[in-house]
Amino acid sequence: MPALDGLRVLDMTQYEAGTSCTQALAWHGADVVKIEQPGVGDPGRGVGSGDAIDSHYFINWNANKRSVTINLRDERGKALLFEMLPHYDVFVENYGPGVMEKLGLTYEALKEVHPSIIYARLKGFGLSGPFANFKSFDPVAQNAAGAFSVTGEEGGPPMRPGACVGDSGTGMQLAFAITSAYVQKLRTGEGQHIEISMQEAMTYYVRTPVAGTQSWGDVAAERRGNGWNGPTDLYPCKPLPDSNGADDYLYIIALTTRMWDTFCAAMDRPDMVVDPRFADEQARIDNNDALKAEIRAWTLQHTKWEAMQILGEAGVPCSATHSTYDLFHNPHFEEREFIQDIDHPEWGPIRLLGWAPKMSKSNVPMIAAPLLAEHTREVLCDDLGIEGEEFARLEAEGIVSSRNGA
Amino acid sequence: MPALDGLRILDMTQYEAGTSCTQALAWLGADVVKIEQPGQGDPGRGVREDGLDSPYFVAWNSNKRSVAIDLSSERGRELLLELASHYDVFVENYGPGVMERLGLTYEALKSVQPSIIYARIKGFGLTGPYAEFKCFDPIAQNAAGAFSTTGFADGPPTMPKAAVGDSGTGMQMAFAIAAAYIQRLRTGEGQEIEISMQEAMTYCMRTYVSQTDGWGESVVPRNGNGFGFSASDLYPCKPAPDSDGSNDYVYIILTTSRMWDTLCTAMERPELTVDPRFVEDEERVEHQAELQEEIRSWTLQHTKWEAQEILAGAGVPCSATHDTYDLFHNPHFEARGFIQHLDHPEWGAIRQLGWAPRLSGSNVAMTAAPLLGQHTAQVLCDDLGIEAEEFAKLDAEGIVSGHRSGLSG
Repeated sequence: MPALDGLRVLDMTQYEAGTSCTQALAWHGADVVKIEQPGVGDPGRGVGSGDAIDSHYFINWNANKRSVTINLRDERGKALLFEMLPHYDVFVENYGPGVMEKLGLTYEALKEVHPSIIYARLKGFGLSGPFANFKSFDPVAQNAAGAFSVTGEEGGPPMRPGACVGDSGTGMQLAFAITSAYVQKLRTGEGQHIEISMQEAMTYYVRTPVAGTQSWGDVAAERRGNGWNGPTDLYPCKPLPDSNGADDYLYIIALTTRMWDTFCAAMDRPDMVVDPRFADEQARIDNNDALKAEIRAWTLQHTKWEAMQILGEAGVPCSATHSTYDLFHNPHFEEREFIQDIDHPEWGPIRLLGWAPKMSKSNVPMIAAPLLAEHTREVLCDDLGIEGEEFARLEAEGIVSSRNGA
Repeated sequence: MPALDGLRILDMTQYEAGTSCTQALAWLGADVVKIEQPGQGDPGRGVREDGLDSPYFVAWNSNKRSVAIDLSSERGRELLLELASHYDVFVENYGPGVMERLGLTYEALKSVQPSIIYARIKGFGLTGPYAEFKCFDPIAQNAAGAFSTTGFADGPPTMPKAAVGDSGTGMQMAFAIAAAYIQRLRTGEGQEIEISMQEAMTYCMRTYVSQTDGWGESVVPRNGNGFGFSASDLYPCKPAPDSDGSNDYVYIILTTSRMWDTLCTAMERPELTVDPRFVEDEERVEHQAELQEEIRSWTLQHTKWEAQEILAGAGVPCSATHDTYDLFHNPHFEARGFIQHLDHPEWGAIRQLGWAPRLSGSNVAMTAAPLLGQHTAQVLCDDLGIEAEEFAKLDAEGIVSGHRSGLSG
């Protein structure tokens, strides 16, 4: 039985921040019904694809959902959404500032027809404060949360982190908040309003650099590239065959003297354990260049996979720089079945990265993202008993749409 | 009423990946009891020369209670198993094999509390060839592709310093625990949850992964601060007074022609909207260097705050580069009450960043991280009925300990 079996989510999300939230809910068993505009749908469907077929981007963020198209610019379409509403526990949206208000889909309006709805809103800078109306995308949130300022080379400019945590890192916190609110609803019967700001959510992941200043916010944390004191750093490795070398690196962390000794033994360099230049933590900081040159001399003799195997096995915390290609081609994910081979109705066989939490009693198989309007007929029939002639009329009037009459 | 009121967590987490998970549960109202080794406790406490808990520990352990039990003693382990029957969830993020050596496996806990939710955070998971490998945040980020997509095109991979490998995993685990708790409320059954930091980190990589033209068959390269659109980049600003300039930048994103027009108007450069070099996306890509130069000449005339105010106010998605000082000193967080002013029993008045999800019907007041052993006496009394004399004996034998100052929360 899926953990969130029976939880029904009316999903008005787009791009990544909102879709990552509802996808996670779906992967724990919630029934996620995505409401989209007939014709276009989630603009994420078109990102980067340039043709009629759904983008990789969309398919990565909308697995296990159903798609229903309703024209919300038409009063009758809106009325239809309100009729559906009492069949759902949660409403989620991440449109730009003011869009839900313009559509008349506020918490007050929804609560009137469904008092126990959990109404969840994801906004760039939140609903209040001087920046409330500012637009946001992932890097805007990351830059506004300090993540750029601590990433990059010492002396260089701030750097955009290449993982979209401003988006999906916010989506995760909202999924958790929604689930918690649902626990409360199961107990009290009451729904509530949830708001999350991408800027604020992103700061959760910056708490450690903040704390690294040993102050309570009165000192700015600096950029320090990849290195820490001592041996901890990113080291170049022997390029793999056919590699351009761009990702042939190994990151190594060795903070304590014990880890350093283990590290030297693993490199087959017991002489370095007793080398006075590296005898204790202070000495390793004082002779950092010499120390790193010794390590580099060893890593350059091994490919990143060899080096990771040797050091990892010996107990040295380290990892090869995985490119996005490597994520889909490595023995570890393979053995753990983290890569999902699934079928998409138009793309055919595709591969997606899996979902990290593994629950012993709550398995949910992964299903490809829905085509636009794939489930309009099914959901309107199940939720509202609308079918046959009535459905055809709604479709003819452009209030809903279905896929090739399916 | 807090959303997770009544949910009780036996917390054996340390550093950040686990502590970020249980802190989030506490902020939604769970009762989180942190079990620590007498003397040292969570190594994240950091033991500074002045004897104070580190700001790092304080940042990740708000709203928890601390109970110090020596789990290397037989009696200490017995006490933990006695406690377990009073809890819904057990969470740990120790290194590979540590719980097995302590005899605190799912089987052992299940035998005293059949419906326990037993949650484990591991660097590379419990199975697969890397299962025994040790992990810290940058290890998980590097192994999940985040280094490979961060940095300049001609430079090495770069470490993203937001510690998402740790706390991003913690968030997914908190969510999974809440979901498992719902299942338990319905069925009465617990379960085991496992999460790999490497795998959890890849959730935030899905957008970069999808930029290839296949399903994982090519490498997405690093692209500096650019974001796929010609004008989207980080631009230098006029340094604010007393600034060294290192974070005087504004990030601007433009995804459509309409946004470009809005930007030109906001910069008071309407002639650029009709400049044939920049008229459509194709032209803007072809003349990217000139286009960025036009923007840069404008941003350099404004501080990052001015630039943000003008551009974002006009509807251009952008943000000033906030350094970690700025996080605690800006009118927006102030107006929203995001910065929390707390009292710590030893540090005194401290400031902490708040918790992003705001629930209208589930408020939880934030409290400072506990001192080591601050709640040992309280929890052992409430849960097991162990009081004064018996407690003193356990304390004297070194099996449990209260806080050294005698403070009890």
